[in-house]
Amino acid sequence: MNFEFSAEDNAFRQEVRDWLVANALREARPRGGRPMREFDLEWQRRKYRGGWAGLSWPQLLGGRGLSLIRQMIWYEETARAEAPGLGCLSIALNHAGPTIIGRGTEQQKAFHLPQILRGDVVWCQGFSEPNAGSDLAGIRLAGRVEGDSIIVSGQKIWSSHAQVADFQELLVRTDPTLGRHKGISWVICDMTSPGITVRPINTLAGDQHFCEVFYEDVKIPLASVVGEVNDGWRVAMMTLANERGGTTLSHAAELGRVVDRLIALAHERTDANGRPMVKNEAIAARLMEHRAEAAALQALTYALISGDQNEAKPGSNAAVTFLFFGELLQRVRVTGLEVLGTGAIELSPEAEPWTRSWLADRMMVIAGGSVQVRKNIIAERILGLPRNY
Amino acid sequence: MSSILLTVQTDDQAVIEAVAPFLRDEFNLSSLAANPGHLDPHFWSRVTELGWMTATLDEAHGGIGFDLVQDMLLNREYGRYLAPVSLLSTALGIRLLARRGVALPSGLRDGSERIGFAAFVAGGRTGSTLTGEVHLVDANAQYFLIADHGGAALFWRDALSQMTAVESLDPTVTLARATLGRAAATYLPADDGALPTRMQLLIAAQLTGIALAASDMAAEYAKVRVQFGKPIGAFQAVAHLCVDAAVRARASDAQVALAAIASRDAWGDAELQVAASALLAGSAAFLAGTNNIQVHGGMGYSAESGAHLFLKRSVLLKRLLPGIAASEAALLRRREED
Repeated sequence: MNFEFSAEDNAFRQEVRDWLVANALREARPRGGRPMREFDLEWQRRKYRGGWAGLSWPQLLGGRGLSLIRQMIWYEETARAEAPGLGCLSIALNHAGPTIIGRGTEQQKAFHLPQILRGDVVWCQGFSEPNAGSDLAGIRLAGRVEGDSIIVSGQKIWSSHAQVADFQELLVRTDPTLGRHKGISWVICDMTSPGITVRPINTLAGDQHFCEVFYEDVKIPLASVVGEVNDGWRVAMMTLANERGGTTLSHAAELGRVVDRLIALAHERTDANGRPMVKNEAIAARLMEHRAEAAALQALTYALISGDQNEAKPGSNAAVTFLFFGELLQRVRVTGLEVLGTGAIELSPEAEPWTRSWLADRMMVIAGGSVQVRKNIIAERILGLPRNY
Repeated sequence: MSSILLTVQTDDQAVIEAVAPFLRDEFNLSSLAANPGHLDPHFWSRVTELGWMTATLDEAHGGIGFDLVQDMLLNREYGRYLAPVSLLSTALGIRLLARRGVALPSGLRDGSERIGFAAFVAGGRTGSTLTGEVHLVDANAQYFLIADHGGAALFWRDALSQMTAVESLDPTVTLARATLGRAAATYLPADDGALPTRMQLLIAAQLTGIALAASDMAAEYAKVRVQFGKPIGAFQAVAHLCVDAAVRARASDAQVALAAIASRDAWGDAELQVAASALLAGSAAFLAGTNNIQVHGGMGYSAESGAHLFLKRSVLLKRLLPGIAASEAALLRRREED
């Protein structure tokens, strides 16, 4: 066992740090709509100009081709600098792009990848449906193949940022006579196509993160299928595997900083008697646990990339790390409310980093597989228990 | 090239293999459950002969030169097999003597004597004087090691009076209360010994071993125990008990490895990493111990299954963690912009 960064990796860290000091966007990220889209695209453009677009993407395709260690360094440094994350570009950069890189045609790569890297376009995801959430293989969105097109009719839901997206990675059932996992196709949907209606959903956090998307005889060229027609399930599983690698690293780094900020807040804020919150034994006990657990989350991510430094191929412990992250974040957010004390009833600018974030972060134990589904997957695939769902 | 190796590598595996097969034979869980106080009368001389007690001393002192990471791996195995708690106190005590330049008493050299843990029931050290009521975790040991965050001390049982046997929660140990009545000769302040930190880390390693063993045992049972026509692991309520335990155990495992490296390589935040590992490992072992009993149902409630031994040992080891106060400060410290 060992943990040591090479001189080259340390130099890389310094390079990232210096670049972020000079270039990180300092203004607050708008909470939604076009201003948010513009903010996220502007950050991507800056990264593109600086050579930081597509960290994990192959260099031949315009990416940075970073090892997992260097990706981790990037995420640690962006968390430390409180620089923006990927925002509404995460689907493009972490899902759609890598899927097109892995399974797309030369034409698809040439058309889409540069636009994503340059910060020209936003992508959204069209996977979940009203009757296919955790049970994704139950999707029914109809895709009738006619000549050189697929005619799509039906509905998707929980499509993040669809109201500001240019393209969508879309799962359609192109052959309902095949099995649940067969007969699905992964297609690129142009969001300006006639027949698409996007309806934003108000969330409990007071934003419009997700949308419903309705399709009425939307015509998608067969040339927009990624992988083979009816092979979309396998293509989608690859997409989801892609989500885990970089996302887990960035989650761990950011959560460590949230705990640091919470502890700082507990030193600053006082209770009704003027006593710092950190002197409250119950709160102190929870804060200590959170810091220890945030350290362990980091350690889990280090274990995840151990011996796997040049390949973005996270091991099975990725599911463990993702579950641990989601549950820990909830505990930290609840403690945030306690430290805030009387401020916990406000969504004021001072309080909302803790109150609105508490609400918004409920998403982290639901999206991408609820914690209950995550536990089912760990039970089956890691502990070897019989399938229970 | 960077070297981020937090998982067990080939050379780490060799350390584990040096002790695991022996422990597996010696501490079979059902035999331990049937007769928890029993220990092979030659156990101490055998492990002494095998070099376990002096493994971390350098070769000049008759050791193997194991570093802190290797010591962590040894202790994780000790925990996994519920090996005697005095394996750790004896090894730590011998290290303390070696650092003091004191020649090892012959009884410790041949394994006819050993060092148990002592811990204050209340009160404790004033300066370099140790007085007060103590728990003795291995009451038949000839020497005792006592540690707090300020340092550690070793004393002969001669320094004790009013020894009273007490029934132990953990049936594998012989517990007593006694009064420690005089200054111990070998009190070593932490700043030159670093023994309390080492002890904290190695207890965390044992607790991690317990968490791993108990969570594995729960999952294995859930695969074979059939009710309502299927293995109970096919019920989510049971499966999730197993998963919760396994996830905490793995988190603790990763953290104790990182803490061992941080401490060995003298990182700036080593104290925080070790404190985090102790906190994590304590709760991981307690949870896995509890969930393992629950997954075993009625069998788990029986003494015969041995499931209870993991939980009881976890309570004992948590009690022995030294110097929590300073660790708390490390965990609550504001992190300055580094």
